[in-house]
Amino acid sequence: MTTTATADDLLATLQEGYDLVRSSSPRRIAPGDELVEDLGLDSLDFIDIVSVFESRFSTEVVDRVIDRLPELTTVGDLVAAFQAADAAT
Amino acid sequence: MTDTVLVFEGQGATTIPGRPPLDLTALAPAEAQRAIVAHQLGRARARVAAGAEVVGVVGQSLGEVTALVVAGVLDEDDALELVRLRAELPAKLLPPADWTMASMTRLPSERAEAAAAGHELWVVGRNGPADCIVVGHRAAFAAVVAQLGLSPHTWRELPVGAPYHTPAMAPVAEALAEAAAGCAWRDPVIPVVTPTGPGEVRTAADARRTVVTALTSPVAWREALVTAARRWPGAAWRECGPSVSLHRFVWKNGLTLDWDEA
Repeated sequence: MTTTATADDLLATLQEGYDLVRSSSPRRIAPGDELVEDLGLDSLDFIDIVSVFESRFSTEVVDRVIDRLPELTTVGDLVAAFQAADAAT
Repeated sequence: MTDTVLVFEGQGATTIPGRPPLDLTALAPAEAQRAIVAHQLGRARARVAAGAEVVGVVGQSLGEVTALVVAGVLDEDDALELVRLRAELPAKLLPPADWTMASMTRLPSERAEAAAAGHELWVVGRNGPADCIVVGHRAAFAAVVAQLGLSPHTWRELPVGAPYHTPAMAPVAEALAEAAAGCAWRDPVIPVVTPTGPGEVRTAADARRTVVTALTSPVAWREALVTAARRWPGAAWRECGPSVSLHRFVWKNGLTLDWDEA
């Protein structure tokens, strides 16, 4: 299920994931937001948000992004990781 | 007055918020578990003091004990004594072993059960369609994780050092039953949905049996949550800490609830 999703598309999907995971503290996320410091996400929150992408990407793409989670700091990093994983598969 | 369901998590919390936070991993298991229950009771009482009308309670694992206190079934002192025993008896009654408990994501319980067959590993919690809790010998856990090819980022080890909710806890359950016989148990004055079974605690005898049976039975959190959501669909659901980890299982189970921290 390779896509040619733009960064804006991916950001919108990330927003969906954030809205699910942090429904009690809604906010508009931006590429510069830090996943831990700004959004208060823990490791399992990351997995939950990333899993939202399973409707758009293959499991292989999602797994590739999960493997890179420790090195991802910002929302923009996560978007770029999806683009890179998509391009590599 | 707002109709409210109070929810209490299990013993996976590692800290109690505050300044400074209380590091539960630095405490003996009995002290950590008693601190969790005391914290949960404090938040529940604060909620009631703020005007909440508690129409139901639901607890997960250790949180079941808290739920029973809030429901008027157990006195706090008796509950804390049972919690102490629940934490200390495994080390006294079970053979030494390197146990671990882990919260798994992206792993349906059926797949985990199939992989665990033949290993000293049990699926002890069903939290969502692809979320489960496993308990077992550390070596067995490592073998199953390798067999399934799981990324280390998709699971989290919990600070729990005994095989709760497995048949291995039978000697502990037997001893806890004796201790429970010395406590005063009352019928709930607030409805209690339990993930042990799952079902509803309707009487003092139900409650006493549930606390003991929970030690050797899996935690059907998914089923309990769905049952409770059907029963109290319009209520405010308030999770009484300390790590408020259960919110994720609302949307993961396809539920829409007014859910927040207490």
